[in-house]
Amino acid sequence: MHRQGTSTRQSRRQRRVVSMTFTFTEKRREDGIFGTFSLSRSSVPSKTICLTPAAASSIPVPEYFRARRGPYTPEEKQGKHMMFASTHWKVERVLAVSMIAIMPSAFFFQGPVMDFVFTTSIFMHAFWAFDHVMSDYVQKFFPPVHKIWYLISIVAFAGLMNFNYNDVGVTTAIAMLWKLPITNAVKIFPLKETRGKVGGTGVTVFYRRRLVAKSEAQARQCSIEGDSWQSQRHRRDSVL
Amino acid sequence: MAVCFRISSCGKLLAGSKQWMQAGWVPAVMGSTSAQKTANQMDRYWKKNRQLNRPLSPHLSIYKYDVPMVLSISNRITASAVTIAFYLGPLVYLFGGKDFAGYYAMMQSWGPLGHTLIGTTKFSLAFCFSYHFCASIRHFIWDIGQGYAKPQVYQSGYAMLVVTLLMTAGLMYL
Repeated sequence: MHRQGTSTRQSRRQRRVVSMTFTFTEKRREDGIFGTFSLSRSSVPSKTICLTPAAASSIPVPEYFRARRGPYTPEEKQGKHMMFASTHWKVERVLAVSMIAIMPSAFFFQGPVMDFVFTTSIFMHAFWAFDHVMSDYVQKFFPPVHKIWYLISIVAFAGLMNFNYNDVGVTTAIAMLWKLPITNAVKIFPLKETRGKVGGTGVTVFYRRRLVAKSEAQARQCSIEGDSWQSQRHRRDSVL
Repeated sequence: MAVCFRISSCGKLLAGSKQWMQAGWVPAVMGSTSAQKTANQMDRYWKKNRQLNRPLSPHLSIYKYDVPMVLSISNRITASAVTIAFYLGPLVYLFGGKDFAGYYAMMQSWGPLGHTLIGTTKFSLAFCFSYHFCASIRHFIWDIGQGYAKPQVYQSGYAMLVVTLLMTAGLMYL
């Protein structure tokens, strides 16, 4: 079916289309309600990769998970909301712009207030945004996804508040986690530097001692005192 | 009203074969509003599609991807990644049974593989956060009303990528 010597426009279109193969069913198109409509396009190249099977139900999909194109009526679309959708959109943008300021200040200041502000702003932003992602892609297949996301986020928010109140708090936690070594042998800040030669090549390297918490109690003390190298130097001899 | 026009035009084309009239479908609500009639029409269209087993037209597989499109969907993908990471933290913490010091000690006692995993996670989070940060600022510029011309879209996109890489490097170095 591929024509030789096609015009430039057609060959450009053929290059643009990677694969398009329609497999026609037995039923004639002319029997359709909306009149005759021919789908035979002989200018389409017949590459053999067929990405859309002719029988859409070759894999049996339960009726419940098929795509819906609703809500249909204005009443369905409005729902029962506290504010206009545009006002809610404005609130979302205000929060997002405020996060541009909150992120760097979370880097400079840690503490309980910063914990709460940081956590709540990120949480609300993520909740609303992921809710919109669900509305775009998942809701048409599975409408209750919004309720499930709401429940999950309630549980996650409870965990975050508990973490901020009864444990170290997210800003301190992220600071500590970021200081974890990403390779086994190198710590970010040096404890004891020794210079040596490697294999006689004359290259000078720094060796760094590795500090590993020997017990949970020690880790707890480490987390209470803060992970500063001065406090570790005092404990170095007793630890290693 | 649109349904009535359709029926009259199809009556001319179908010249005698009134299969659709004998099929037995009738609008579900007779004296309904135009919105409900439209809803019924859409519903019938999709049911008919399913009944005839019509294939879906190729879309994502054939359309040519260009830079602004990829940057836009990457913004959403990185945002979802950060969201999932941010939600997994408290969920693991709630249902894991250790406090933060316990998890910290556990992570410190991991071997080389564990630390490589920590490094990979750190880099992914840093990149996703930085990319989403810069792409969102670009989005805010559009929200103000600036930067819609095509060269500006491409230039701001490339500038955003450079700033993202710098910010990722900065975050990884910390």
